[in-house]
Amino acid sequence: MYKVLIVEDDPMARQLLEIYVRESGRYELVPSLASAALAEFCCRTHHVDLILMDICTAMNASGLVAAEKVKKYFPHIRIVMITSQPECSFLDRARAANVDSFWYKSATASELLFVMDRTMAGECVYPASTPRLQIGYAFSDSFSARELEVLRELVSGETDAVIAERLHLSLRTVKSHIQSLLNKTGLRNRTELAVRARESGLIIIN
Amino acid sequence: MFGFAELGRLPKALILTVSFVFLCVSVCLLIHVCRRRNGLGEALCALLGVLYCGGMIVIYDAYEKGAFYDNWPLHPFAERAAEFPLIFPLSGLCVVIFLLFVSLAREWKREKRSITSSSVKESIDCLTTGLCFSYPNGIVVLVNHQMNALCYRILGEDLQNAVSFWERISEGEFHGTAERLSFGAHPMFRLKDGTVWTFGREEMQDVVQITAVETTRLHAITEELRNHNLELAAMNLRLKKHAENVEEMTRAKERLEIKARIHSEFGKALLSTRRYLQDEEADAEEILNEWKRNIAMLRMKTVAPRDEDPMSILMKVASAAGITVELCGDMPEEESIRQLFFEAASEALTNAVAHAGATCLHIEVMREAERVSVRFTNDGMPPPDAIAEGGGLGALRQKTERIGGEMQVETANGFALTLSVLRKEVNRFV
Repeated sequence: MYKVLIVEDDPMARQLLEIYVRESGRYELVPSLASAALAEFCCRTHHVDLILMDICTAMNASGLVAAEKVKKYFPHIRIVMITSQPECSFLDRARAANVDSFWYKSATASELLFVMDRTMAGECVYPASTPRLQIGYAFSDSFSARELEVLRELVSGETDAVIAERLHLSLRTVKSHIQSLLNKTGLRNRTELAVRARESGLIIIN
Repeated sequence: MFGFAELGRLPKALILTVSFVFLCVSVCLLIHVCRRRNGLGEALCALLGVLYCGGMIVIYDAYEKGAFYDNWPLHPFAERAAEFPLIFPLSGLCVVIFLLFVSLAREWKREKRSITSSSVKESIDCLTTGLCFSYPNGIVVLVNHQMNALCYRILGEDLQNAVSFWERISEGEFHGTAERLSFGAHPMFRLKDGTVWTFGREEMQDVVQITAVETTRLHAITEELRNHNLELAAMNLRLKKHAENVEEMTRAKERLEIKARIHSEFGKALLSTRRYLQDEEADAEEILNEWKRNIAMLRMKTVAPRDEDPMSILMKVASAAGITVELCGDMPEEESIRQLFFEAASEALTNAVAHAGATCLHIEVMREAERVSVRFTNDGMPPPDAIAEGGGLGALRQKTERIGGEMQVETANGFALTLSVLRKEVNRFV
């Protein structure tokens, strides 16, 4: 039986995941964690085959950062990232961190177990795209990659000049991206844009 | 050609008066030049003036007295001089007067060009800054108009003693229309006309300097900045609350979804059981697992248990793996520092196991008034050589420095990690 470590900060979601795993008949549990910061420690002190890892965990620890570290030191441990956040960059960042699979928390027990089985069989399971979100009049898939980058900086509260410097763009380009976002969404100003992006879960700063 | 003796009373008096006047002028000039101790030409001219005018007065006066009193012993030289044609002594007098004027003009010019005490006073009076120099005992050496005026407007009296003046403006009481904006080393006053003045005091070698600078504009800008900062802080707080609300909302939504999922899972289990009972094609074991899961889910505490303190969770996780964690001191209250320290603790714990093979991690939190620091040590093997700060430690250093803290890694007597954060700094960054 494979040993599964669950990293999830919400106690209810954690219990539910534990039940899925325990009652599956083919997986065993390692004591669960609330914060991803301890994941590497757990892998060093326990035998772990598979990690179900949330992205935003307790004490503001990022599951993606922890997953990258675990994958670096223990390449044989399979990792399934699970999140309830439709954040647009999570998929790409998970791929960059060498995470095996990625799924959403809203999945049913059998869906999730299916993803786990496939992952243990050596496959990588990723959703085809992030969920479609509506912001103003526009859907999130109508934004370009650059626009999403600018939007991310905007949500963190930076000025145009700082955004331009961080993304190595000219000030004029940044302004035109923001204008284009405003045009697409039909929102009135940048503050509203930032708030909506944050509220919808499209952009999560972590 | 007639001499002094033949003149009438009035011209005689006139000549004597003129001589006397220029005698006085040359004496003054002589004293002035001698005090300065240079300017030989002027000194000689002045001396000549003194001797010539003085000589004329003595001789003519003696003659006059001899003519008036019969038994006055008159020197034959004076008698002869009085009858000497007047044109010569008078032209001599003219020359002397001319030379005196030239010397006076040169002296005046020199006065304009060189710095004297009066020119210093004159120039500091032109300053818009208030300035006062005094001895340490308070006796005023030099004070300008502006300082005097300020003193009068604030304290209602003239500046007499610099020590008592400073005491009164920095700490003491005053009865005036001015308003004191700040105490201490740089007292600040707002006068009736709305201008703001900041005073400063500096002790030099053997004089004390008190200055007063107009800071009306600076004060206004500072006030504006403070108001802006207050507004910003309020906005930041609102933004933070908003972010918290978003997170709380997401959580509530997730819980609701979980409940809905339990409901639908139960329905699914009922359906598949019914199918199994009708036409036995389904996998019995799978259905059994499904029921087990559903029963467990129904037994689950739907009221979420309270989140445990992360540090005690860390200790529990560590002790489950056979590592003792000793925590001395209390974790700080500030959320961002707690998060940082927790991350550091996780990193230290991981490193203690991964590299040092330790069985005990010692955490010491030290609180000072404005600074809080944490030190991690373990009982494992010291690192073989200097540690390259890759992944974990590097990220930790970045995070520490981002909130204005410092991180130190020691390897000399075993591995030790120290983080130190200014509490105020964090509040400013948050």
